[in-house]
Amino acid sequence: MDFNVYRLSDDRIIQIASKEKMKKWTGEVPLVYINYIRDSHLKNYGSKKDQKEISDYLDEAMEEIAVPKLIAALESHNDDEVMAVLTRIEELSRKDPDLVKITLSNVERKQHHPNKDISKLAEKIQKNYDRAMKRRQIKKQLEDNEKIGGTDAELDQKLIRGDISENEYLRLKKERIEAYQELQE
Amino acid sequence: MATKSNQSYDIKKYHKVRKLYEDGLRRIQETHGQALQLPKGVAKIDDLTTDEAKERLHQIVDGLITQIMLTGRPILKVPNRSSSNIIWDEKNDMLLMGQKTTSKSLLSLSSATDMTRIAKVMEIVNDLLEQNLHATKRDLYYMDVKGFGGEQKNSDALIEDLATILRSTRNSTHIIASAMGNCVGRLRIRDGNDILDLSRMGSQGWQVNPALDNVEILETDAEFVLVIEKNAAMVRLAEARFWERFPCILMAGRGQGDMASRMFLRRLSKMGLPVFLLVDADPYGSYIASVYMRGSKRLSYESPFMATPDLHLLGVLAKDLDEYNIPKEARLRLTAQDKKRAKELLKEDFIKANKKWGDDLKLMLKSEEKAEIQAFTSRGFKFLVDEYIPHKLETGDWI
Repeated sequence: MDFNVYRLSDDRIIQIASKEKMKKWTGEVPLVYINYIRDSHLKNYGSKKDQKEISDYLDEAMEEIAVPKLIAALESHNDDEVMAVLTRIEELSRKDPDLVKITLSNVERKQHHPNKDISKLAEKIQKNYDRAMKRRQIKKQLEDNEKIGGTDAELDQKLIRGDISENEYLRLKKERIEAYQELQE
Repeated sequence: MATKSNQSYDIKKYHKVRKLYEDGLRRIQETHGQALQLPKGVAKIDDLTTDEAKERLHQIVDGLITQIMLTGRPILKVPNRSSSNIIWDEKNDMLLMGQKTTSKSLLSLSSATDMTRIAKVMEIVNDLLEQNLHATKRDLYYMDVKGFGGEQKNSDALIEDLATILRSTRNSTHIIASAMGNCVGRLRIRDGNDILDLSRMGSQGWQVNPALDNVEILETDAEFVLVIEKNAAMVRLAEARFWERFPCILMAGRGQGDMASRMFLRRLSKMGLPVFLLVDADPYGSYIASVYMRGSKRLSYESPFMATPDLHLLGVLAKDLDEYNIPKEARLRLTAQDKKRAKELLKEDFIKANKKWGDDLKLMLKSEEKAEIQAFTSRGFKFLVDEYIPHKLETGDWI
């Protein structure tokens, strides 16, 4: 069957591409599709029970099809196929870096590939991913910083009122300036 | 994002639509893995992948070369696409191409031009397949205007000839028709590298991509498909965001629908979704319905890939004009051409086998009246969307 049919508790019927259908897709497509459904639609699928059932199915499809397919495409001996998949992974590394994580060990090996186009693209993916992770870390630090000091104006007020020491103010302010600079790059 | 719930859509109220959907899902489950059983004497056509199409094309050319070497008189057998070679498959309710062929010889004065042009089309198709590119019929014509005698109809016919020689769909040759149909509603597809949510693509939605080998249906929470003949009516439904109130997919075919739209519709129907058609209340509307249901005579060889036999004619039926109080001034007189077409349709086996349809055509002939879908506007801008279609779906009043 090309589609899995789910009868939801709110009386709706939904059809989702089956694993059989996904098997016919190229390289990265099942991975992109599964994450698309998970991110954009799953929360609207009936009850929590319905959502769990579909989520379990998506997990299975991810493990049995999406990941092996992506890895197989990356390990292909056909440079054109590898390039096509890497190009899509590079796109994903900019838009949704979490999706790329499972491919990183394979991508890393491709950085030493004799085909310069492949190795350069693999380096770019790694760079995009590292950058995204670094930005995420900085954002987290900034959030922690703001939990202590509040907004910039509130931080200033805290210093004036003596709620924080000058050293603490300087430390928080410096951390913020560095974070803003990093995020602007 | 998918619509959160069916909002005003009440499954109990529209239980007849749900029943069709459940029947469709059951039928798909029962026939899963079974190939379409065609009757004897019908040409078998395949929808080929790029590599398969290339291989089949090379086999034909190799055959011609062998003939040249052995006999010096190569002959190409071209399937006959005339009416005499079209068979109505009653069981599957489709028009199909028979197995009659016409022999064209390269050394005959009467067919040398055709053979030369077919060879040119083969060369172009081979290039497209090698590069995995698609071209329109117009592109093909401009690749050798002089060779095709300065008329596109010559190259158009040759594309269909080549597709039948290859025993393949025309899309398999990577020659596509320009896109005309558009689709909007509760459907998620992949078009090339992009995942598209057709409920979030503005009022005109997604223009059906004629390169359907690049398109994949991914997910739907629709309960039915509504095909609309006229773009004006589609605009009315799209502006009302009809698919948010009724879980559906809307498709504007603009007339009888181009090949890609009909192929895409067939794919949707293969998901078990009931398909309804809304056309003008005139004999041409019935003709359009027949083309969607069982294919056109000209493209009978593609019917197994384009026909949607389970389609239901929702309206506008001749009887609806009185039932929904369409004012006399919003109705039109049947022309001589309309009457001729209606009488021809009444002679068709598939109309004879469908009493309700035949009765409606007879009523049309008796009243000598027809009306466009837009005639409902005479009862208010929202009558079509708020009254007519919901009532038809609720009462199951379709053919």
